[in-house]
Amino acid sequence: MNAADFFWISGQALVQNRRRSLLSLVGVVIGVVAVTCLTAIGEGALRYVTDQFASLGSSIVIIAPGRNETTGGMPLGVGGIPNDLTLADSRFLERRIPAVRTAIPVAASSGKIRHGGKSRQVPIIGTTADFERMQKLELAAGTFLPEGDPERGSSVIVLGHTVARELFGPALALGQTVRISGSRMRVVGVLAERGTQLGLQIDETVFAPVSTVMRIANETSLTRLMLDLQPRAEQKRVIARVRELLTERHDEEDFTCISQDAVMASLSSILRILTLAVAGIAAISLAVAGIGIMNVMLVSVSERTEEVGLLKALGASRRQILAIFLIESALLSVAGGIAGLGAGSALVALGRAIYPAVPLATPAWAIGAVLGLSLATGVGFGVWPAWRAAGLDPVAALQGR
Amino acid sequence: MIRVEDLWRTYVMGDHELHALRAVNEEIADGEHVAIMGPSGSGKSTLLNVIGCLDSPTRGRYLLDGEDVAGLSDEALADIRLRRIGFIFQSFHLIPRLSARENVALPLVFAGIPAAERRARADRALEAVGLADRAGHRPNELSGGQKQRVAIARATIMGPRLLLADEPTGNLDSRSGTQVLDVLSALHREGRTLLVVTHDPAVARRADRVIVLRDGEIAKRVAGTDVTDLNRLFDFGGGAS
Repeated sequence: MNAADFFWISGQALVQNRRRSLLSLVGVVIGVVAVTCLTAIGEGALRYVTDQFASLGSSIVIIAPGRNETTGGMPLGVGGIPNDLTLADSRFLERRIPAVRTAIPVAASSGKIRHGGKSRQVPIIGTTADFERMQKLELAAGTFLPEGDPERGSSVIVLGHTVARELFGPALALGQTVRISGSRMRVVGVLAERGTQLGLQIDETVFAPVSTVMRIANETSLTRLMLDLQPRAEQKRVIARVRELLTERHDEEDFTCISQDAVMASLSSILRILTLAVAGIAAISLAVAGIGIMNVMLVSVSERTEEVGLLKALGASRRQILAIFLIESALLSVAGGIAGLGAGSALVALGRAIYPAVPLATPAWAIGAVLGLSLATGVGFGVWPAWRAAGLDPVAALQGR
Repeated sequence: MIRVEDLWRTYVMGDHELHALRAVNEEIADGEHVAIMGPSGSGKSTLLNVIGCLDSPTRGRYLLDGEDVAGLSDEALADIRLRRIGFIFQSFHLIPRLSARENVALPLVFAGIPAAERRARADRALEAVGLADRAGHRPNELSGGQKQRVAIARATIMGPRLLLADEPTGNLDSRSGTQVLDVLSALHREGRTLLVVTHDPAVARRADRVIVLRDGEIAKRVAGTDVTDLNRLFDFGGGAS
């Protein structure tokens, strides 16, 4: 008896009981759809985050003032008040570490921007001209912040798309003067519509030279110092060098270095664990579906007792009977798995069409795992019914007992 | 050749034992046509099932062609049923979802014969029982007599030397019963050993000899031609009716 014959005999029985077969499939289909969709959402979130990082293009190391670690048992106050992270530090690191292409200082603040009778509370980012390239910003009109010495804070401002529209409407914003926290600033550029990028609502933000923002906000320290690295620079080695140089300069390690790689790696691992967790929960529904299949197979065995007796009388061995029923339940569950994958993929495609920003996609490992799981479900939960069929006494079975 | 020696088949029902067969000794030569008769519950079917390797004796020896089947594995017994024995049942036992041809070909499936050869052999077997034109029909599209002839084609498709029939005409009218018996007789004339369990004197009369069972024991052995009516045959002279 070869494989095709087993499938023929088992398949015949399933086709005969179409309605029952289909009903027992539903459980598997639901389980597989759940796994397919949930892993697609997890993978979509992962890709979304990865894409966001990739959109920055370059390789970046971020330095923040202050140590965000416990001081290892040192008495309060001994660590001292952190030194400011200054524009001088920025210049220093840019000059001393060859792997740093540009150091981009960032001072973040917020304030009220006014023009005519309109005003609006906005985040203000103080930075340099390089910020445009690093964040791949696009301008709808004018230019970004002027190149040149970051210490020289001119009174110019670049408006996010929404800010410009709200203050000026359809009118031309370029060359107009706005007031921000009491200072008069000239609008030199308006950004193109962008949306959210790594948590920053670019459209609702305004940009000004870094020293201007520090002056307005009365701040002595930068909020962040972003080091834009050479294309093949190793982030780890750059961080080590920054630690060394800056600690020497400040006499203590009063800053924190974050590499883009590390942030992405930890985000990815969190998302992966979440995906696995939800997929695992969804997979439990497959076990429930397995019990449904077992139930159907038990009914099938008791309904076909006479048939099993006949097959034995005709010369089928215990092993062949076992295989026939096992293949039957495996066929059921794999058919459910395939149907579920189809339905799940359709749902994922629908989700992608409705919300294109998140690249929903069921990962390949999930497809493999879900098919393997449904096969295992069918075989696993089919063992007991098949064993019962194989163990039937042929004489009693022929009499339907 | 079939040889049973001191054969017992005992069922344990709660705290008492039921002897379906007790100390049966019998020898059936190759090519013989033997009928097994006896009142209901006398052990006819049990004897047939033991001889057909569907049931195993509680005690005693069963030699099939000189081989003791008692020690054989499930696999080996299945192989004997597949290749050396053909069963024919009162209620036909055809699988309703399969066509006549597929039903006939079932044993070939278990024997691992390729599909194309199965089809050809099943068609020849159906032709031999006069049902070549019914190969594609489902059992529910066939008459009782046709169903039993399909079952006979299935029983013979592996070319067994031994055919076992349990009340083969029990569910048939006399006309189709005669047709079925004619087919069985023809198979016997080809040299097969034929063992028929029956209530019907007309069936038993075709046999070379008749074994009469009572309460699990062989009570009489008569020639097939001596079977006239059941009252006389089942009169064991001991008050049992």
